[in-house]
Amino acid sequence: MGTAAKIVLQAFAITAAAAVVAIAVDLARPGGIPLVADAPYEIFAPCRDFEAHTRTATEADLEGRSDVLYVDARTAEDFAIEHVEGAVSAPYSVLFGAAAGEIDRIKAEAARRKASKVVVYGTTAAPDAPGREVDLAQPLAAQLSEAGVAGAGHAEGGLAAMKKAGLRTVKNPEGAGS
Amino acid sequence: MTTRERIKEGTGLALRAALAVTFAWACFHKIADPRDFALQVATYQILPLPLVNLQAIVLPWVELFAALLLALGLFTRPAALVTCGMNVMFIAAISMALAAHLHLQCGCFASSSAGEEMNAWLIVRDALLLLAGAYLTAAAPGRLSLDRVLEKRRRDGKTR
Repeated sequence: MGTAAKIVLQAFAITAAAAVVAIAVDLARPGGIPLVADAPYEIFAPCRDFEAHTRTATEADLEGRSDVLYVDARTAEDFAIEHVEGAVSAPYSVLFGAAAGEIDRIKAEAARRKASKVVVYGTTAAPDAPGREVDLAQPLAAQLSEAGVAGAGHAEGGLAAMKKAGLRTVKNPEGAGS
Repeated sequence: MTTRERIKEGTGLALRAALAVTFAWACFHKIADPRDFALQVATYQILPLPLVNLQAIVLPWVELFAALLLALGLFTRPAALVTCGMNVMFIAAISMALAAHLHLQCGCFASSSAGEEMNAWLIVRDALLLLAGAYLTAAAPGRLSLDRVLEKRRRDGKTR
């Protein structure tokens, strides 16, 4: 038997031995729990309260006014293919949020354009459920709000909703690669 | 012993100690209060209900076994491989919880009421522990280990 296979087998043996001891101790101890839960656990794990930190964009926010800065939360590649005219890109990662540098850039851009409001839009396809969209706008708006960006809000429905509201977009069908 | 060997020996020993202390520290609250840990496992909403308690009962003891073996330097490489498996599992669980925007305690080192809040740095920490485990799985056990003592005895026995 090769060394690697031996190590893997021994690792399984350690796990199995630990499992046997664990189950034996659990059965013997007074505070032990049943091997299989007899009823579902009453768990309370709320999603992060983004609503407390952000506001939903109003119709007036989607009129393309010059005092509104639009922020695209999708990937840079999606932004390159099509985005709202005048929008800035700030890719939001579901796991890590937006990079600190991106937040600073939006702050600076909002100040430069004298924007009184920042409206974030963008969704991404859910990796585990084809056809379902995950909202990126609200968490990014919350992150901006927490970072001190005044008037940060989110638009629901992603780019499609922005277009439906009548906002003009800039298209580049060849995307980021062109 | 060359400087390079000394560095290798020292690195191995430091990583073994770090992993042993981390996993020993992590298992105590889970063994002390399996009910609370089972609730934390359930809160992740990954495992089906029939597996929640089993995971809550077994995982802390696997952590303890791995920690003790690493501390003693006995079955060092398989014990390190076990920690790798656990860290891969932890990284996957934390990633899934973060992706689902679940606002929960990690449950790694403390009870549900006093745990660390979920954030991406936990993935970085577990990734570093995974790297330490991978190094120890790949490297030969150091001098200060029972593995080396037993190997020496076996070799001496053969030559007699």
